[in-house]
Amino acid sequence: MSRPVFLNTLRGLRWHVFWFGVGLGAYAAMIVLLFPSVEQFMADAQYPEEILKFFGAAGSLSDPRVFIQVEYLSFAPIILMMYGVLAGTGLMAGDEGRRTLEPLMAQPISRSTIFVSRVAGLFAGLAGIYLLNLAGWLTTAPFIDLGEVGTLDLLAVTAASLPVTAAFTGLAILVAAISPARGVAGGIVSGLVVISYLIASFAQTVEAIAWMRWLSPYYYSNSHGLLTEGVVWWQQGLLIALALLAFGLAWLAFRGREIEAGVWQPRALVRGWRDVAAR
Amino acid sequence: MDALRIEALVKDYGPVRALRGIDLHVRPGEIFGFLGPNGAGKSTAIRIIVDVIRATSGRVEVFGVDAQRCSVEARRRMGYLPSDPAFPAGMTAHEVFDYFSAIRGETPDAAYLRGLVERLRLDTSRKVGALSRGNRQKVGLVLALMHRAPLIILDEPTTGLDPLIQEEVEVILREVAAEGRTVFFSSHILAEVESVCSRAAIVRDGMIVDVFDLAEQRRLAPRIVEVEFAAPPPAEAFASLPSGVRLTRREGVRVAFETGDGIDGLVKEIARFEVADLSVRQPSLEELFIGYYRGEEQA
Repeated sequence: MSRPVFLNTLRGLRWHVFWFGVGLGAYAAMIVLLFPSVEQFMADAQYPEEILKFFGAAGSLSDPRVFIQVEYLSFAPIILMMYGVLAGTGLMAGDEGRRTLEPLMAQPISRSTIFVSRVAGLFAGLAGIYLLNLAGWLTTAPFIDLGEVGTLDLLAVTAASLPVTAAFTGLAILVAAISPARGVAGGIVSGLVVISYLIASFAQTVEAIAWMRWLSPYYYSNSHGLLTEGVVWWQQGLLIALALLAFGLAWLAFRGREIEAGVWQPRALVRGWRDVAAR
Repeated sequence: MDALRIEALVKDYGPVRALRGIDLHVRPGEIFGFLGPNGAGKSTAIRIIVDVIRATSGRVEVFGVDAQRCSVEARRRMGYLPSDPAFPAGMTAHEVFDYFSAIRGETPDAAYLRGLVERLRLDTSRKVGALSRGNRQKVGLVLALMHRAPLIILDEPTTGLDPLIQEEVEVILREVAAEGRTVFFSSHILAEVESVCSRAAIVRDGMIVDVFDLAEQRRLAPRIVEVEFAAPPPAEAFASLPSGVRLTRREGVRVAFETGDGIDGLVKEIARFEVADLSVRQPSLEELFIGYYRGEEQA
């Protein structure tokens, strides 16, 4: 790994990390602080069952576990995935679009080193967001009665979004490595994030398409039952495997990519594979 | 061992063949011009040398190192200025130099770096994102030169620079060559190549159409003799010229000839009429090779 490239990646992402982290931290704090005020109201409220199912409410919203699941896990993973898409497509394709990748690649540094250093920078940024998000929980939760929800639950609820974020980030880097420009890749992967979210949510509501939830990576993040039913480890494992596969393919595609060619490059994967085999 | 050796280099972009089998040998210590009109394939060839894009077939070696299979080792021997360079916008030029030095793991000679910056009149304290095209070009030039790599590859290096700085760049490149290092210099400006290069190749439509030694070319080149007569010579004058002399232009009192070894006969022929003015000069590179640019055979 190249330390200067890693640090420069982190430097490039610092404002993303700051604002995404502060935003999610503030959102987490707001959920905690809001709970006592809405607890009684939620106990009395009569929401349509379909709406509750859509947002994954497995029980009464006056239960803090359900409340946090619905309020936090319905939106936070989407926000984190958007960070993954933004940062993932910008990682190489953004620099390529700004024409700053070529001077970097002209240095005596391998494409693999650039890839690993950049991805490490991206994950360091994600860790920064996680910590700021966590700060939102930890600065408010001790002062509010959240019933059975403890600090470990809050750590888990935040961490549960990371495998699905990693999977979509890997996918974003992969699509960016074979697409003509960052904007194209960003549009495609953002669309997939939204479709994945909608499929998972509608599949909870409409019996006829319930089977479709298995097609949505978002479903495997356990967002609809993490605190009430526990972590489903095989599902999180599947997301991590998906992420590793996407990063592996993205690495191959980046190795074979023609920089600033401005065209679709599915053959970059083949070139990357041959490159690895030849060296 | 050649500083740069290119063999049968082919590059296809889908159905379009951008390079059609380029062969080139660049010797250590020379300034080699890579000359051709826009779109001829110069940048494509250079970007393959740097391994930013991949060749369809063919081979590139930098000081004997395969530039595709061992690209990191090959790039360790290179300093490179891309066409229209760009750098991380939030960095100052000084930070750009530090950043790329850290990536290379090499600390440039501070005095040499300072010298380059001063000679190119570059303000290193400004963010590169706020720099003009010419100043970004200067940052790229310093970056390509500062590590004193044995092979310097420059793609259109004087674009955007004012004439005084262009002149200074030429002086710097001659100094680089005097140190025994090699410069591979791409340009579409003939006069620039003529001024700084010792040898040059002309590339057109993805092929090398000629490789020549500039000093030798000038020595062998025919002289151009331009005469202004006191009165227009009669129509039948110069109908039969001595061997080795060719009439190239005739406009009233002004007549131009081209000659290699027939200068004595030409002077005697001209002397038959009253001469008001006369000049003898060598053709510029532009005059010699403009035919290649136009896609014609050299006269």
